[in-house]
Amino acid sequence: MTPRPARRAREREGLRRLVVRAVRAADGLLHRWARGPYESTLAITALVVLAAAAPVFAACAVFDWLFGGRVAASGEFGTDTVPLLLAGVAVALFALGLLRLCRFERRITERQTLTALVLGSFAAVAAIAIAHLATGSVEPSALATAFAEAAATVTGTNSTTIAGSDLGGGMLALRAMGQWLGGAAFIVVLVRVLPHLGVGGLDTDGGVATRSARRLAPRSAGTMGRLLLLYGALTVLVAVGFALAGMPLLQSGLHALTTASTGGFSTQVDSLGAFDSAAIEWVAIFGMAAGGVSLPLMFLAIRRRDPARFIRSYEFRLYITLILLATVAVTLLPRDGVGWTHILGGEHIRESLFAVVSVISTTGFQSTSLVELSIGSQALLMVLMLIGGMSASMAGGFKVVRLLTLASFIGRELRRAIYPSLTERLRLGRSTISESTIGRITGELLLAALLLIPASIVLGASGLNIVDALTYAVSTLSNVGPAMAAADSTGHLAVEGSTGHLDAVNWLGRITAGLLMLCGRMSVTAAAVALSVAAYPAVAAVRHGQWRRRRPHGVRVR
Amino acid sequence: MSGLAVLGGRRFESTPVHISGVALVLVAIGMAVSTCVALIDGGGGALALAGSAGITASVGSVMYLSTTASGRADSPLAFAAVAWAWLAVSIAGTMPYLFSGVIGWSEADNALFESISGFTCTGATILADIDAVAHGILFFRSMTQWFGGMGLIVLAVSVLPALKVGGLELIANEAPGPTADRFTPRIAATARRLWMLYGAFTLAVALGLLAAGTSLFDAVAHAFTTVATGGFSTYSRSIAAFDSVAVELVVIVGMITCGASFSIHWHLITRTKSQRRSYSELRWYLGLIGGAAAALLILNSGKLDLGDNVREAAFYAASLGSNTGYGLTDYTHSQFWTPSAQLVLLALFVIGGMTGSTAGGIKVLRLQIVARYAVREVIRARHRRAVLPMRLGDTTVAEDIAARALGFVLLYLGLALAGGVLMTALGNDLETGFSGAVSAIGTVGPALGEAGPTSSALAFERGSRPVMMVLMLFGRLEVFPTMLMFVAAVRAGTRSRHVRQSARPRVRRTTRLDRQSIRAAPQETDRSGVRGINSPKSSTRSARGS
Repeated sequence: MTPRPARRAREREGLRRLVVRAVRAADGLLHRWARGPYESTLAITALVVLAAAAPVFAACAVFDWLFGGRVAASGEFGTDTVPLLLAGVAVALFALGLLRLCRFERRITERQTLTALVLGSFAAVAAIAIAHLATGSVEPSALATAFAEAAATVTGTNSTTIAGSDLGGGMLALRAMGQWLGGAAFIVVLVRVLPHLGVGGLDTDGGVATRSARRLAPRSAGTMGRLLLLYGALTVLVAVGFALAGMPLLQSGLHALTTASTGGFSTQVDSLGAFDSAAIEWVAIFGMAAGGVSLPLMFLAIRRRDPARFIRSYEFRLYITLILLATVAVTLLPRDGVGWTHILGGEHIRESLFAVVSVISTTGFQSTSLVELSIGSQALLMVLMLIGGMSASMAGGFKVVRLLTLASFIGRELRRAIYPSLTERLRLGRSTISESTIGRITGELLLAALLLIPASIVLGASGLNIVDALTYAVSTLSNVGPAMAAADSTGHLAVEGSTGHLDAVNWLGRITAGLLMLCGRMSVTAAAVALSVAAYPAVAAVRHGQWRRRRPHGVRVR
Repeated sequence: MSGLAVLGGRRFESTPVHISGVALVLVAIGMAVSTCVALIDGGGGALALAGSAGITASVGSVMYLSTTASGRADSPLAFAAVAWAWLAVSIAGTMPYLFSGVIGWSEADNALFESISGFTCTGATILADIDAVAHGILFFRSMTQWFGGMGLIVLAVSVLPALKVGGLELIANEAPGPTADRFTPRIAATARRLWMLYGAFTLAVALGLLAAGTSLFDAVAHAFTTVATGGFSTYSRSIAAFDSVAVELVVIVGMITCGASFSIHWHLITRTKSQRRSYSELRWYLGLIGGAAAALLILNSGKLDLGDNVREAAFYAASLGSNTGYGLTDYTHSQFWTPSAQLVLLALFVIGGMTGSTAGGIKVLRLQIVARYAVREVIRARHRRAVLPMRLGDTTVAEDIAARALGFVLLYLGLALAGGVLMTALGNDLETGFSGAVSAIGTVGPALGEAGPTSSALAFERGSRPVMMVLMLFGRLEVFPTMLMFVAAVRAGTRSRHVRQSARPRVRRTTRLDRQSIRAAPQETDRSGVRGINSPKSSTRSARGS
């Protein structure tokens, strides 16, 4: 993997170096500022995230002042400018003030890294929630709503209670920026945090086996810089595409931010369907599909000018196959009031492809409402939501490579049922999959399944129907957003299109949805580890305290 | 004997056909008993039942007599034998319905559905008006579930000790039946005791129902389906037809008892020492039913008054927690039951009863393994080098057994999902389709949506019912035999060659990891093979996953 000298020279130049330098400079400043009496890396993480939100708020305030009227449905400029600026200043003062009191710890344990991740994401959620409350887009009393909205922004889930038309330009920009930055932060987490946990990061599970989630450089900062750069380039490309396809310039910028991050927020009530343009939908299909492709794979294919790399990747092949098969199925499954001539028309196929790509990449854009599709295809789309995109991509969900691994695991168990003493190593192509990898992947799926059951029961108790509750739980856990709806008592969801689920649940359901989104983004295992870390004192008390049930002597094995 | 004459007296060596023959003969005996019931009752159907009995018996005896079981007994053969035998009896079971005209010939697929639903103890019915059906046929219908509950092959092994076909392999594969836990050194004796216990429970429930005031016919028919955790009733309104708390109590106790492991019952009754982990499973099982009842109570508290609420919560937690599927009131009606309460029921569909019981679902033991596994992965994410044996209660589960249980659960969930997608693609709505698939593979019976307990399986589109039939067979035989029945039948003939191949570890490139695993693997499998099946002494230490 060591690059050849000529390449290395070329890499030294350019944007990547700039990014790395900027990060280092910020790091230096931070170390100089945070020299207080209290030694706590965790607090610093949370406060830095808060402080970093301030310039974003400011940028969005400026955006609102300059262009707000051109984006917002109300056509007014500067509605959000003052609240956003004030919120930004307040957050910055608060965060920097407290930061001054803190000091870095000498050593950080793995457990702390994880707690830092959780605290950091909650800080980001808090920042966005503050913006929502400050601009009045959410009632000041509705804290649960603000939490769910902010979680949707940070995790890139297209689930909201606020129609895009009710928001000012500043908030529209903030939501799009929030999803994009959430994606960028996810890359950092992917490279820096998750590998330490052994769950879902680079080089940990699918990475070694499929070569689609592996490090690009010996140092994590290098990998991070490359991936962020690719992410940015992809965003710009999609923005240019949207603009060329005829979308207004500002709109295309905002939509590109949510397309590349597979977030899915739109400035329009009818999502991308509002533009009613085939070209725009094609650009979106490309953008979303690219968002679901492994970033390291894409980077290497581009850098080495080797498109065949995609074909060689088992995961990519399955990803594309899934998209194609599902598109055929969604196109062909009969729908009410749609004849065969229409089915074979280009428009219908594009519509199906759009729905499939939107769901498997966990973006959640809509050209038509999911509810308008045939019921069989709704079921199929729900399964695709569960699967999600490729590993180390911007997409959420279970990830294609894990599905592939589990399939071969099941195959081995079937063979072992026939030949009980069979010894066989699982392999994808030339590489073998270690048993611990299989364990991690299975654990992740089982945890997700164990989480979905109570979550859907709570969602059902807070105002959704059975179908709505189950599909919405799946959808939020996979960071998609839209879900299916039954036709009876929650029929308004079926009419509204399927982004109204969050609107239909009470505060308990909104908090549940927000937590599901966060769990989905961090991966359920990481969330569970975080919980176990938080619960550590209690567990330790039980384990070492007097409550422990004694095991009878001599029964213990090993 | 005619078969023998035709074949010139030569016997073929085919275990699946041999076993299927025995099973068919047993079903024929059941049909004959039902004929007697029909004659005593006088409500008709006797001729149809007698005819079916005759045909089934002759086909069965020809199959039995013209073949022999092969001398060796191994997994592929056992898979094939069990799966084909179940298919054979399911087909034979259609005859009484068709001959008596209860189900028309143009709806032969419905008859097959009813028969499979019976033998797999599912309890989903396509009879729209059960009350109008002759008692003889209804008796046979309940009897199919009774046969299916403990398993025809267990019965065959218990009554035919001469059936030298490796009874343990067969019994272990006829799923919810006892899994490799023998009470006696001889497997035939174990099987006999299981059926004795099963018969005793049936008698107890029947007497209880009689005492609660039902007629003799109803008592016996419901005892059959309660003990089998099947769920067929002789009334369209199911248990609600009695409208009696006493009957409900008897049924609840019966269902919970038979959803628990029969080997625990045996050990408790004979006061022999049992496996400790069974008790941990029992605790989980009772905890789940109790927890579900409590959850239902809380979730429905706004909709039902307290008396009805307690009654329905207890009944449905027991009925669906043991995957029986008796109905009381219509829980799919959103006027009475909240959606989240119905979701609790859906979770019960998936989980099912204990291993070694007559219930369906993934079984509580596997849920335990799954939960432990998930927790262990969380711990392992923090302590990567931790060596964590998987403990259930006071015993440790061997890795390969845990892996098999996991493979099963994943396959089960995958099949349920795929079945759900197929069901919806074939015209059911999302709720009915998915819950129908889950209900079928869990051998429950009622589903959610349009196919609630007071409705019938006619609520599913006709084209989608074959999917359910396949899922029911998958669920009752615990997926692996049905999945491998064709593979196994083909490979059974060329077994020796394949075994020789598979004995060689399939490793092409040896890495450091590989070498470790090769060293570790044979040791592991050997140990589990000894413990899990053959050695009762050491089986106290390892739980058998499937």
